[in-house]
Amino acid sequence: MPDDQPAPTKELADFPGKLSPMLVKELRQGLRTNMFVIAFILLQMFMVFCLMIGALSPSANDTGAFFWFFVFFTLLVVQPIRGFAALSSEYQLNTMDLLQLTRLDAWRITLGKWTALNAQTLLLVIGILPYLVMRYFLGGVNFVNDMVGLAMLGLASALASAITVGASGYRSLILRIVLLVGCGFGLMIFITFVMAKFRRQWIGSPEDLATIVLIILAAIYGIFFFLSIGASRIAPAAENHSFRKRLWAIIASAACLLFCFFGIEEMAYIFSGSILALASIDAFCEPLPLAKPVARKFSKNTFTRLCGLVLIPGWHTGIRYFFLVSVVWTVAVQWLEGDLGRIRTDPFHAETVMSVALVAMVGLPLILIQLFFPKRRETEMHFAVYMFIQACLAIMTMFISFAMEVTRNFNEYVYLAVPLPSVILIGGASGHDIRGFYSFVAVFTIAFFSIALPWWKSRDQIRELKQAMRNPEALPEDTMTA
Amino acid sequence: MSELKTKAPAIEVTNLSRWFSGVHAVRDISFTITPGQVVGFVGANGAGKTTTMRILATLDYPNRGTAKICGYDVVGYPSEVRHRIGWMPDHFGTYKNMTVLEYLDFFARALGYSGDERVERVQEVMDFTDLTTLCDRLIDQLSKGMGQRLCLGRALIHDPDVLILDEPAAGLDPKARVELKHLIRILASEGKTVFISSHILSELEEMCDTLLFINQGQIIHHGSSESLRESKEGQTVIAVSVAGDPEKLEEWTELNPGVRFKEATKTGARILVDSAEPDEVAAILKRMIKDDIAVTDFHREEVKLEDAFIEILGNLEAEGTAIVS
Repeated sequence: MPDDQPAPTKELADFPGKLSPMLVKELRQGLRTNMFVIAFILLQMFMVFCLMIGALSPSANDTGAFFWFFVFFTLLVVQPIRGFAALSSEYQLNTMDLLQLTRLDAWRITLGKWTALNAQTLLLVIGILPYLVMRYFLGGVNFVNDMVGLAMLGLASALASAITVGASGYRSLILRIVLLVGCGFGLMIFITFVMAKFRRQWIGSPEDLATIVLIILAAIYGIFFFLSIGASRIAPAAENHSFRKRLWAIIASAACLLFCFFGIEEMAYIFSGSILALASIDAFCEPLPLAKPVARKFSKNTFTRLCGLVLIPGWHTGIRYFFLVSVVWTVAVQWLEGDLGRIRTDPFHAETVMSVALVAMVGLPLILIQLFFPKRRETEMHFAVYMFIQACLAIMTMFISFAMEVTRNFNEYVYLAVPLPSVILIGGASGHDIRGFYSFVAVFTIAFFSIALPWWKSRDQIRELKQAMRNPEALPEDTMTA
Repeated sequence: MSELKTKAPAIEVTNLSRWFSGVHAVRDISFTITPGQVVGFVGANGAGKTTTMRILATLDYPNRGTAKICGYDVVGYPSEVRHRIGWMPDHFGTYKNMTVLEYLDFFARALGYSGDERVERVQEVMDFTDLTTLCDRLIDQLSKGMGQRLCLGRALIHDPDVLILDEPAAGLDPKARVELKHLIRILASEGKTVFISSHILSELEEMCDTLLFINQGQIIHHGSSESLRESKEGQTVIAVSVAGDPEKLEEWTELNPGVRFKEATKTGARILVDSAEPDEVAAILKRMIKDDIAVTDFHREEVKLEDAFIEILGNLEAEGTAIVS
């Protein structure tokens, strides 16, 4: 190469050396993709279009709907969808082995991919900001409200992309679609709920502020949870991601319950329950392989071995985790409901029935899996089967709820639909009277069997686990522990 | 400790076995490779080459036995092993929407290089693999040969002592193969140990110091190509061309002791004489002419490595034993 020409490696200064290698790589690739370029150009065009209509139209509401629709679509649909193959593409391109030989671990790979996706979303949002300011000068717009709305949308986009990046850890396309549809449905309900609550303005009272803080905390936990799912799917068996996932779920759930003290009890119960439900579903759908380094960490003394029974990866420990958090959460809700300090002794109270119904709803598919698909427990399809059953139950619940609302006769349907704890949950949330002996017995029985049956069926695996924790050296090695 | 490691063999495999749900991919293999050697790993598809190499690269684990790189056990010290190996799989392993420079830079960052050191390493590797002029080209636009050079460059980023290359020449055109051979010879001259697999013997013969043959998960030969040929000592392969019907030649070999028909060619056949003595070979030619075989060409052929390998396989089938020389 001639001396007067600069070395090509000078171009490598485009990103600082301290940035995560994965982030740099994904940004370099992502900014070149057609999808990003097209999304950016289209969004700018729509913004100009909205602005022109806003300048001509006397009513700002007409353009507001347009404006938010495009922003919503780009941030919550286009950008998250780009993460759909983020991790699985590494397998398709045969690059996962190469990554495992570097210093990047599964978590850094997953986090890097998600951060790069959100950095691109941030670029899109920054591109929108001038139009937000111009809309303000055209009048009829609450600028602060719009900014808070945009920030919340950005947060929702971050959560949605965490879901897609996390789901991309599954190599099976069916599984990824199942997870995406299930979580996408849940996210839409969540966003609809938030938008309905804050339709007029974001911060109107101290309770609103507490709710927003709770939503932000829950979303941050959600991002961590879904990214952890992705990381645990690409990580070698020697890395124990379950420990971190299960422990943080308990901490996040407890943090949510603290919001009861700010006058938003219902929200606090919903969020803390949902966090534990998600963590439990992930825990009791996990495959079993146990690696020596994982067993070794829990083999130190009786206490660590006891912790291992709940925190070591696998559905057999997952069911024990589910039992533990269900009991603690239900008791905690009773305690908080019972004038903070006096545990409610009346088991037929609505909050008691609903909290047990939530546990039963999460656990019900486990009974069916143990009875009809026991072989699926050992495979990655365990989760797909669980989600499929849960989706079928959700559809049945929707039909029953619809019938309930049409006929306005709740009790008859509850007794007809005793195997569906979700009906009781919906009924309770809709203001129907769910107190009483029968409701409690129905949900309690399902909750009991959903835990007892898998617990009983996992006794051989637990015996082997105890043995492995006593003598981890007898287990086969896994080399990917760097 | 470090002195001990520097004196250790580059690769040391002892009684290594690996099986997957009923399939025995590698069966109790043992071999040692000293530092600075270029060793060819030969075997048919499914013989166990890739499995062995993946274990050495810490990407898989053995069910039994041990494997060490520069004295470090691949199971016990995977991080130490990874610092010392450069792994090039049998597939490309590249990204879309990325330039050559960015690809190498990503791996340099991921391997812990920063600042000027990173830039220097990337530049050195590009110079070595002759990719400097292609640095701004997108990887998707590279030819297979260029892509393979890029993958070799990636494997060299952290300047490893041992290179494990799985079928690097597969699918390359002759020019690219020559370039790759040249690069591997340079690496060997720099003292790097190269463990390279292929199922094409002629390809490895020219660049390897020793050859390691694997068949059905077992090592059947470990030694130089010369030592492999020695197993056929005392025999001569002769290519004979005849005017007229070549089938006559096959009939003639059946009637003459000490001569065996090996294979038919377009104009005659390759025959095997059970002697390497020139007089006896000349006597065969005399006998042919005497028996009215219209010989138009008669010349001694060097024993092909493929033939030697196939013969070993044949012997093994007959004896049921492994040869390690």
